[in-house]
Amino acid sequence: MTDYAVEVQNIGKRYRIGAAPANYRTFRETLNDTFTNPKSRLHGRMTDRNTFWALKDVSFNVKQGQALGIIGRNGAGKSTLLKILSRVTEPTEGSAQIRGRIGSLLEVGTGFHPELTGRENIYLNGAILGMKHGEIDKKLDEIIAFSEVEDFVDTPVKCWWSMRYWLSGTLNFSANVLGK
Amino acid sequence: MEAEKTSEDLLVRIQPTSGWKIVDFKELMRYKELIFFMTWRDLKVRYKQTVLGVAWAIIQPVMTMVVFSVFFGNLAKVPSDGIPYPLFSLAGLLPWQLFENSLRNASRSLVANRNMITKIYFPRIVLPLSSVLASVADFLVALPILIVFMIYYQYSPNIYALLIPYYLLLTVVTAFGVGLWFSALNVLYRDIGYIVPFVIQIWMYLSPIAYGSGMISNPTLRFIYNLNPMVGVINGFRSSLLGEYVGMPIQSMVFSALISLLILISGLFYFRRMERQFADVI
Repeated sequence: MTDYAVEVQNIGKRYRIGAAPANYRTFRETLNDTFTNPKSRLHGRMTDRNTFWALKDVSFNVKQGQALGIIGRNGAGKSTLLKILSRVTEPTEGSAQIRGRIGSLLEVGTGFHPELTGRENIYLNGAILGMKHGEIDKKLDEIIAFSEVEDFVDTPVKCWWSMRYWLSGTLNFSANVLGK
Repeated sequence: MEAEKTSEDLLVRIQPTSGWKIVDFKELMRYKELIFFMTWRDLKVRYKQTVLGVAWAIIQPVMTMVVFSVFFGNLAKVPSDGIPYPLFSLAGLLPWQLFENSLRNASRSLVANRNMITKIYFPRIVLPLSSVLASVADFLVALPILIVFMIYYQYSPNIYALLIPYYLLLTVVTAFGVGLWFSALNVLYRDIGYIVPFVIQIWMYLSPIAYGSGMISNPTLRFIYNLNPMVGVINGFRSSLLGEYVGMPIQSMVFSALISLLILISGLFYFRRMERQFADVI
């Protein structure tokens, strides 16, 4: 067994571009298409003309405890790679293996609900990150203390909304592999 | 950091799925905390900043019952199988609203939580599933009001009331199945958001809620009518609580159960097929 935390092999991701992405087509157009051109599947065939590869043939390994920075211009595919590694979206080809829990800062404050209190949000977000109830119980005080919001932790988050990023950032420290 | 974790728990494989498996139960079990918390969040948030709070779960069916009793019962004199109309309609409305709420909430669950879908991984089925579970909780809150009305009108359940869990299961399975279809379609076509209210309305008129199913006498029509799983559910639920049990022909019962199951399986399958592109097109 290798001690790599992240192994990425030939990952590629193809996106559709240009005219008629699926969500701008009407139901009727699609129904028509399905019957007149059954091969086209729900939203047309992927051809070289209407797609582009956001990532192609990306391979690398990261050892346990190693930090890796990925630098690139806008549209280079950094976020796409992160989305694939955090399993938000599927690669078109290739594969990857990850040992450890994946925490991505793409997700900061995602599951936060403004009507819930800070404490309730911690539990909800913990569950979203895949933590067990007991695990959250154990870390709750630590998280609250570290986030320095003890005073409002039982007030609905909507009353201190702008601080939620801080709190959820703290939550993420219990994750193993961090991104972005 | 996580000493108690097994290595299998921590290993994640990422690759394009070919997907013929309908549900990954093992994975779903790992996310049971999330199912619980999403259900709890739905319930918690639903009645926030309302004065009457959870009482709304009771007020909604009771108000509808009042409206139905005035218009269908008193003015239109719709036959109600000899049962006082308010009680008759309430006993139909409770399972119906379980169905309606489950279906409505499940259908919009994905789009309503798009920020979660585009940013984090979790089995997407958690969203429609937990909205159905939250609707079940609402139903359980509303159920005692039916008992109050039964006591008031002096009706008592018969032995067939033991079948009620089966009827409720059938309701939830059907709603969840249709909800899976609609929620996944809604990701691609927002038209679904406009279609769902009509589907619910038409489906309600096709079920014996405001009227007794005895009104349909033509045998062919009746057979088709009975294919609607909610017909069996509502008739069974109502007649096992209020007097004489009117069993459905066994043939119709089998058919409507099969139809629910078919809706569920096809829904799971379609959801699974579409799941992988939710984050890209939502």
